[in-house]
Amino acid sequence: MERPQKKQRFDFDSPTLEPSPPKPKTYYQPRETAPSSSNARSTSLSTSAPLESRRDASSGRSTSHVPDRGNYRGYYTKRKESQMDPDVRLAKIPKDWFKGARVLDVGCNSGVVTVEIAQTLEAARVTGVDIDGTLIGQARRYADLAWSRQTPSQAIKEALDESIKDIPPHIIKVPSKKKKPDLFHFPMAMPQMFGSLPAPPRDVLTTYLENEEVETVGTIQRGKRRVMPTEILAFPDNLRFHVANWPQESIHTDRKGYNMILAFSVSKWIHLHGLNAGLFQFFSKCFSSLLPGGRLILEAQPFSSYGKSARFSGELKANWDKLREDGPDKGWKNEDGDFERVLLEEIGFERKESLGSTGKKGFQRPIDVYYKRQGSYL
Amino acid sequence: MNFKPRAVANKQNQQSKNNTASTSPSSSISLASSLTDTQTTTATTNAHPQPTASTSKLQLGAESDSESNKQLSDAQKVKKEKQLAAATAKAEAQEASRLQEILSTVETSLSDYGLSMFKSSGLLEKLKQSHDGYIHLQQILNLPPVAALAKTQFDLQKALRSHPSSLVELSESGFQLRRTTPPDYDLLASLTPEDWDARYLYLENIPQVEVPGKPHTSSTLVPFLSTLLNTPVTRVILPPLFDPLNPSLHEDRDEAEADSQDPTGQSFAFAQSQLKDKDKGKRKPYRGLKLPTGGGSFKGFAFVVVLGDRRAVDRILDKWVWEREEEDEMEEEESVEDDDEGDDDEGEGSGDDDGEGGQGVKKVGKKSKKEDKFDHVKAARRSGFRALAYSKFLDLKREYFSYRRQIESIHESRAQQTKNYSINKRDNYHSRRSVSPPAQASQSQNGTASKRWSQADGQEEEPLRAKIVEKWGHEGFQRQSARPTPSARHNNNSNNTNNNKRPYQHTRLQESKPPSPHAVELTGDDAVNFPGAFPTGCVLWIRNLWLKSTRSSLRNMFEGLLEELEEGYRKGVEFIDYEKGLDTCHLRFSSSHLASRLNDHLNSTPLAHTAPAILTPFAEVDPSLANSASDPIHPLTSQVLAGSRERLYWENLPEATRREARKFAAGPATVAEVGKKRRKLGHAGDNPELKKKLIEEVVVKPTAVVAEGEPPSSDGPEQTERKRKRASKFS
Repeated sequence: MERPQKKQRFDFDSPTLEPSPPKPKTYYQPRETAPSSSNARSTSLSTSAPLESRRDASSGRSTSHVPDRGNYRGYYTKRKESQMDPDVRLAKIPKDWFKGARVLDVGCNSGVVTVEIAQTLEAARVTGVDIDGTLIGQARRYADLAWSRQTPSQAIKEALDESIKDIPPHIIKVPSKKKKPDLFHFPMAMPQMFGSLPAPPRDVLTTYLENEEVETVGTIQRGKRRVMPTEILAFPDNLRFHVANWPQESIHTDRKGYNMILAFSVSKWIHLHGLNAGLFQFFSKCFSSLLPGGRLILEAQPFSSYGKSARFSGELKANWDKLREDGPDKGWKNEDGDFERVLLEEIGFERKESLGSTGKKGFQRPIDVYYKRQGSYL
Repeated sequence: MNFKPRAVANKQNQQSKNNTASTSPSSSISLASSLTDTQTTTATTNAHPQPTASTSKLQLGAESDSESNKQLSDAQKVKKEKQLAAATAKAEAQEASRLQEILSTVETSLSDYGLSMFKSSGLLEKLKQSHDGYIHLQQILNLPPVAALAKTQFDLQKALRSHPSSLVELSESGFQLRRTTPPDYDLLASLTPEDWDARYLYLENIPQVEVPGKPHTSSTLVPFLSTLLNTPVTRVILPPLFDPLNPSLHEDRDEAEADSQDPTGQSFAFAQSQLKDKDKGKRKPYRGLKLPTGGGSFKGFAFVVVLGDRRAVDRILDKWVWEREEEDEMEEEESVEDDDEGDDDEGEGSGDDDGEGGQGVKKVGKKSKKEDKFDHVKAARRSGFRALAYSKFLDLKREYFSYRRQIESIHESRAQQTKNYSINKRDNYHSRRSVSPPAQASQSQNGTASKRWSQADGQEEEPLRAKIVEKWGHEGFQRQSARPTPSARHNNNSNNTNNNKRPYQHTRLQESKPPSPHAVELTGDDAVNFPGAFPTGCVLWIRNLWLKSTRSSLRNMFEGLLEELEEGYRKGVEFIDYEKGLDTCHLRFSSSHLASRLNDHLNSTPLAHTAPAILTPFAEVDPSLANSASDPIHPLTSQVLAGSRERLYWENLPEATRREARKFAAGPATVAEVGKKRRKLGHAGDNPELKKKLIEEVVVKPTAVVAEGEPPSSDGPEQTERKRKRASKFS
């Protein structure tokens, strides 16, 4: 029942990069325990959730904000030690993974981590997606502020020297001792009092990363083949934010795929809202959106923390009860290796690696990497 | 400005009631007078609220009214009361903000900063001499900044009573004033403005600890920052935020100018008073940051003036260092902050108010027993609190603006490149046009002539174009010539061919938008006769003029320039739209040829407008002048208006002006669709026959109107006759 519907969606929105892996039918079976009729069932997962999300996004501005999807306001002021320090979870990930990569941050909240990736880690394209429109608005403003505060870019100065001969450059020489750009060079009062800086023309900051030649093995052509260099957009240009319920809606950057998908502390909310089926859908969306050799970086909340989060609404409580009790909907537990089993055996990821865990007490969660197989699309 | 108008107004309300009960003589007098004339004054005070004690008058009047006016019907009463309420609310708010202004001026004058900075006022001496620290209100009133705002001692009393002040207090008699904490006279006397410079600090990432869930205000920040910095803070300034609707207010310019923006503000009053001081040389450039009270809300940063010696300031700057070295400080701090966060998962508990506040709740709740300061310091470390000397801040500000200027000029140079491309295109257009006879106006008189020329043109065009392509090999030209020539399709009217090419040119440009889908371009007779049409490309937009220009000086200058370029066309400048104080103007020319000529000239040779009627080649301008941070000189830039901007320009002019312009220009004209018929015209698009027909419909009728400038000859009917003939040719 579900499957053809979903396939249609994908065909319409974006060509899938990967033929879907064989999916066990069991997850799409109607739930026997559910008291709903077959008519109601057809609208159960893929239609009801986006509707809900839309409602969510629109009511984001209302005074009584319920963060029932983990869309906390001011999340990072709690989560981070200091606003000026880099994110601890990103610090666990090797830096060269980001270089020239296309990155998706699912559930980016107010975009602090997303901006950090775009600003400091030389990623080619960074997309932040969140279900909450208010938070995305905050994220965009935050990115604006971050751009206005960082050290003046050398590239702009050079571009100015080159391109303008007849217009006076108005350059005041700024001694640049540090090689590493200071993210907080300008006081935050400046963008707020005098307006933030405009972004430069796109090509000024864009760099290109040379790719190695690839050995081709074929019947007609053999030998080395040159690969186009990767275009790496620099900070303000390489960052985009979208409001979407990503597991169910696709955004246009999905078309080109991602080298890395970050899912930091989102699995609980997907799990609580969509039960095992919803989580499975999320995982398989991640899989199909990743490029060959891509990585899913998953920071999953422990099952023990679900109870507290379920208090936001009656629906969540009911789902929580379903997940907790033995039965067809018994929830997978990351602690018990359920996620790993599903991702490797059923979704089709090649292998898992652990990056250790971060945070203290409440925020202490393991960070795992799941690799998609290298190779071609076909 | 509007500093808690409601709350203060309420207070004011009570205050004035108390006044009537108490013994204050002046207020009871005003009350007595108010009882007599409230009936008549209510309406007038609504329109012109008196700046003095009018609010209390009105208010009390409203109360007494309800008792005395029994002869009024109920309906009238209700209506009247409503009016009164509205009037009083408005006046109250105004009065409250005025009182607030007075109070903060008095406070500033009597603060350590004010006493020291404005020593010439003699206030410090007087305070020192008086044995109990009291000083008479009249002496406060004599201070120029206060005098600018308050006229009587009564004003001062009201202001001082309107809002509790932590800095000053009134004596029981109500005519004496003193500081709550006596100042350190010797220190203040010894401080020079230069000493104060070092005491200006910029702070950011200020943690929200004091009042959780509520943002800081300048009054809560003073004690908080004093504890945090371990140094007394005398002034906290929260600047207003950038207003995208009014960006000019935040421009980087001389601070003195910024002051004069708001002649009612206290900063202006201080500036005025300081001009009277003898030591003008010591005038501080920081004056501009003394913003009006309530000017901004707390957004995590503030400017403060600390009271302490140099070492204290250095200590602050060292402790809360601006540019942190890579994680050496953090290590040692982490041992301190460890235990208390995150024992509920993700802290959902405070999820529904803003996170900064939520953090504060927990902190205060858990650590209330512990020492306040420790708590503050910890919170400050957490939020990344840091301090910057104000002089450094100004340096960074300069850098910020120059950086912004750099980015903008990259954009400008890109636009310039695009524009240059468009200029080439335009040149092509004119070089072709100049082949056709210069006196195009004659076409409207002579139908046969136009026909003859059109045929000639049609024949001539092909070889000419081939020649140009051969000669220049210009990319744009090749593209044009690659297109099938429209003249081959219908060579009835030479202008038609031009006409058909124009949209193509436009689409190549990014800057000048293509004409709106309903805008129609006309040529020949129609261009002259079509009501509402305007000649295309006759308006030039010029920027970076000398700021003190006048209209006549600009006219002289541009006419001279035009004479140089095109001899005998001195009068080609039809009109100058210029407002004093701006650096842009619109020049309207009698023909598009002149406009583009001047435009090309200005774009090819950068000229700087340095004096009323003097244009200097930009290369010869003193580079130090040109690059000066406060008032840099830019070369003149110009642009031929096109698209919707051009349309807007012409729409605001009367039809008579447009008609004249059409007549003089005698070139292609554009009409923006307005009515139904014209919309149809727009839809006709490229179909020349349909277009012609529709134009006939509109033009034929008003020919009489168009021709009214000329003697009422038999020309009118003749023209229509001719048009009919031509129309029949098409159909």
